[in-house]
Amino acid sequence: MDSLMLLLVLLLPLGAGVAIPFLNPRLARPAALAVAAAQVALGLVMALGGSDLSAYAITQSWLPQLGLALDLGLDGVSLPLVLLASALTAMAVLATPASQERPRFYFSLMLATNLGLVGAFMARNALLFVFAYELILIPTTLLVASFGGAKRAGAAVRFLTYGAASGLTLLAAVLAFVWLQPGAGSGPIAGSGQWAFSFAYADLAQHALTPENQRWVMALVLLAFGLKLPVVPFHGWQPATYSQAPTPVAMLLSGAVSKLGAYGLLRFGLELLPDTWAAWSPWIAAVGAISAIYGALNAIAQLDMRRLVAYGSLGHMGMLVLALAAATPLSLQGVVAQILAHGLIIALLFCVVGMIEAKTGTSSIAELSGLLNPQRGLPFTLGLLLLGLMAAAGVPGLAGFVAELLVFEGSWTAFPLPTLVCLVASGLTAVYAVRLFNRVGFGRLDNDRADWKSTTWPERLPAMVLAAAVLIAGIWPQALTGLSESTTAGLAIRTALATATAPLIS
Amino acid sequence: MTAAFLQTAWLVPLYPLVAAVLSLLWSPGLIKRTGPRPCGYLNLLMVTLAFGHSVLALLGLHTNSLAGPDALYAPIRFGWQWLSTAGLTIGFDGVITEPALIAMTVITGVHVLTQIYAIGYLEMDWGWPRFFGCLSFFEAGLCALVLTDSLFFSYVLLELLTLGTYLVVGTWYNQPLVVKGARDAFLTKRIGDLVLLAGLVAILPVTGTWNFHGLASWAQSLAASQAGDGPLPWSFTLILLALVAGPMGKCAQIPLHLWLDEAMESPLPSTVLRNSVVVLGGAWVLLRLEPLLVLSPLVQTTLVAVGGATAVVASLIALAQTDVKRALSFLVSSWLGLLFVAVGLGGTDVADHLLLVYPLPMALLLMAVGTVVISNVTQDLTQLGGLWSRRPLMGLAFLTGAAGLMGLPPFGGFAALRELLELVAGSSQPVLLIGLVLLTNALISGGLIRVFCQIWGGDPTPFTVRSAEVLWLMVLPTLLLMGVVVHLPQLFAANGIFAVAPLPGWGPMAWPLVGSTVLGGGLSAFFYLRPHPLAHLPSALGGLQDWLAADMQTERFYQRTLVGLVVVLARWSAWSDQRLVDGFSSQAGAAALASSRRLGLTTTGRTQAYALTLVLGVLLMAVWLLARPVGVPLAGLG
Repeated sequence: MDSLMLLLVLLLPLGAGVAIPFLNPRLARPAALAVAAAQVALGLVMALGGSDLSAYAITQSWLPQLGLALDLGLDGVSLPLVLLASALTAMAVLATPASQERPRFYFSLMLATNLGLVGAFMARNALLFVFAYELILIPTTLLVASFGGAKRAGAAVRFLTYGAASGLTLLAAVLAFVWLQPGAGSGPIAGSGQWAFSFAYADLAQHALTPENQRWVMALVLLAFGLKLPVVPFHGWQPATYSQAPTPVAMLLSGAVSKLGAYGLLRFGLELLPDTWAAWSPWIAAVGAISAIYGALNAIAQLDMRRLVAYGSLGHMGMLVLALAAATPLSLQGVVAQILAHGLIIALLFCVVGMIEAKTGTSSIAELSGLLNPQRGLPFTLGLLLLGLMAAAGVPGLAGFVAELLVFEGSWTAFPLPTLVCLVASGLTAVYAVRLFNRVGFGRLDNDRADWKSTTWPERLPAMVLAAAVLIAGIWPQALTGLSESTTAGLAIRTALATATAPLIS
Repeated sequence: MTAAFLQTAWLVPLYPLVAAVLSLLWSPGLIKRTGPRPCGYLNLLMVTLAFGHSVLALLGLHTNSLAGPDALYAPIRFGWQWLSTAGLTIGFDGVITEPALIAMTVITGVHVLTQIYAIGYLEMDWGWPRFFGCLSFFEAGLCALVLTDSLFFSYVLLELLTLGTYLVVGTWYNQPLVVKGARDAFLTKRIGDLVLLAGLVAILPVTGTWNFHGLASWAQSLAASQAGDGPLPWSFTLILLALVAGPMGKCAQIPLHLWLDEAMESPLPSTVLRNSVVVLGGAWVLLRLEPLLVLSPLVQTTLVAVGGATAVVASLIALAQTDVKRALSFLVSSWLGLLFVAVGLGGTDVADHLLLVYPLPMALLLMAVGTVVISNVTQDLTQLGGLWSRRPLMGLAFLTGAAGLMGLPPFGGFAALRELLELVAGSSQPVLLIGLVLLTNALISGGLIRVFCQIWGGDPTPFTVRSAEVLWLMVLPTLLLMGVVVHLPQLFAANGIFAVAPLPGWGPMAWPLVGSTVLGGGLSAFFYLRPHPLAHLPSALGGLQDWLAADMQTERFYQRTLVGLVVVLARWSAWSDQRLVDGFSSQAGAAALASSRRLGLTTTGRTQAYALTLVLGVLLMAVWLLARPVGVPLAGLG
């Protein structure tokens, strides 16, 4: 039963993705929504069901010649990510207008993305992870290339280039990890046709790599996921893609797909190669801090709402990397919280920005003003924008603050200087948030242009759900941290908070 | 009966919070048919409930105290665990103490009066739901702030108040100055808040607790074990300084005083609240931190220096302002500067008293001024005058408020300032500090009298020829508050806070204090009651006056330093990003070129190459600097 549910999480998008092209086009959106909703429900049942997460597991040999197995399972880190991916898929479907052109193609691609995401998060086999990781690239590129904005071709090409580079690097990392093991070169075991090694995480954790080889693998892992997350200077694809992708796809890409990078660093970097991770962590933390400040500074200079949100996302990913590098129990809780909080917040922001763009026809900050006006503006939408921006700026009472607090407090003892830099970056976040809201929300409404239709309830629904989630997680942070505590505690490589019974001056 | 109200005093912040949340139904326009007014009435109702509850709870406490001192000093605790993960447990940890109840009564009382006042002041306005919702949100935040025993939640609440300030200043958001004011208010306060957050993050590994009581006992045990063991580690001093930054921002102390001035762009009723009770949130937190701050003489000196400088300079700036709201708002900074001095010298009681006597007179001053501003459509002091014959009641109200603040017996300000003088007389720099307090008092008195003279004295101007009395909704709360302020000394005496005695009984510091009041107020009356030619100083001194009028060019200073730095860095990184990272494809390259032109960067190819190298170098160096091992301040001690 338990493993059936796990399989169902995977089979739902697979089945629907295959079936939708043959359905009536009008049924595509409801079908996709039903699948995503069912997935969320399954995830919630597994999260709240009370049974041990390790019970949800499937091990099925697939292509033994390659060492590939359908090895699925859940733990405290992967389950929240599955939930995030399915929830954001549902929101992305909701945010897609009912009048979407070529709906069968569009929603099939979206479900394929979802399939790759849940597959990657549930995988317990490195090769299966790589498989899912590469799978995502195809539908997302197609979505950007087919449904994106005016400059979608360039954006899609760049997204594909960076994505492929990331995927190939990851493949190289995984293969190197296994093939560099002592005795791995001896070929298949005679007679059985099976290789003497496996790609299962559990087996990889028992590796016997030399420190030299570990460093090579780590470099590849960092490059692969640094491209995905992204961190400076591997973020070249991000502003273009996020600004050209259709709104629901941008929500999914920024909220869920980029989280593969964080998850990968956690699984492949920290969990499998803890010694090298510990040795390199000062540098990783420094890169994270630079990313945070660089993203925030760039966001301040942007003239377009979508690009502003994209660079803001870069900054938040930097904080995530810092917390990963620190790897204390608290900072790892911060990682999970930041993954979830940022996923919700960035999806909310893209959703709202997309609504504003759909109504006013522009996402240029300079062309918008006074939208808070209760009569002819978009006051409700702007209220949601304010909530999203304040959450991104780390104002207490919203999800972003919980994550930032855990990141800062957890990383402080390990890396005080980068933590301070991230604090400054958090301050700069407030600068671009206020700058955006001042220009777009406040000010005088342009009376000549302001004859927009008000947003309707169905249009507002995804943003409202996301806003509610951001608010609830801020007031009841256990929602962000509750599932993952025991898992992250096992991953930590540094000690917890120094307890304070020690005298100040000894 | 009243004991039940005491037990449930934690409900007080919830009433206005409910009202603020319900205001959301009106604000983005879900409820349109009723118009905005019911929302205002709903807020007023909830605020009144909160006031009633606070008063009953305070009465309950006093009834309890008749049962014996034990009942009074066994504060009721309540709690709510917010977060518990990986060894970090954060709870609200509320304590219902007598000071908290008094503070809540004052806060809710001022809110009731102000919301009634606001109904009159914003009679014609369409932004009611947002405005009243924000006011109630402020009240909820402040009441929660005085109840919590957690430094962490104090930070959370201060930060939420910062957001509230942004929204309330932005009430009239289609005016450019308002938008700028809202932005500056938010960002200046956020700087203070963020430094406080840094201090918060850093102090937890050292003390292991964020609770004020825990911090105090930690500081005590440290002081006991240390006993002349040499100075504190510098890093701990830094943490303490960071903790002070939050209150500094909230209390508008130099150099974070800019926001209060900018926040004057908000509607006047919110100014009444901000200047009287909201700024005290910072002072409240500072007072709770005092046991920790006494550990470091350097921090104490800093407090005295910052507070002293702000006290004198802000009251000088106030003298030069022509905008009546700004003239009063700088006096806020000045008064709180004196409070900082008191905290820096370890005089918690004195600081408590400075805190206690301040809010009601300040609220009264602003309410009185507000009735003039609304009916004479200007807040420019030079355009006003001669209102004594037309609006004497409000003039009296203003004078009452002024008397409550400046050193004039038997009012509260006099009693508190006299205590402050005695405190500074016992410090290591008695002459300097006594001079400072007397000078500040003279300047505050002068500033208040100047405002009075320029509005009510002199001859009527075109703006004041016709000056009808305003709506009763504004007059009633003002006069009610005036009655309370007049009776404050009695209230203080009845509760044993100050003794009411004839002047000689006030001790040796009374005469100089009264002297400074008379001198400052008298000189001011001499110059401004009948406009004196020297009211605007000639030549060289006039430049000084203009400089003060422009708030010492603080804004330009920030523009050129902090803001300038961020702008340059942002443009620089945007440019380098478009060159370095984004500029791979030609299409994006063209776009980048266009937008860098928009940013006003006209650079030739060669300088671009240099700059690019520079950017790369800086980034690499930053990574290298950040990756170097740095000892965690204090975490590993012991």
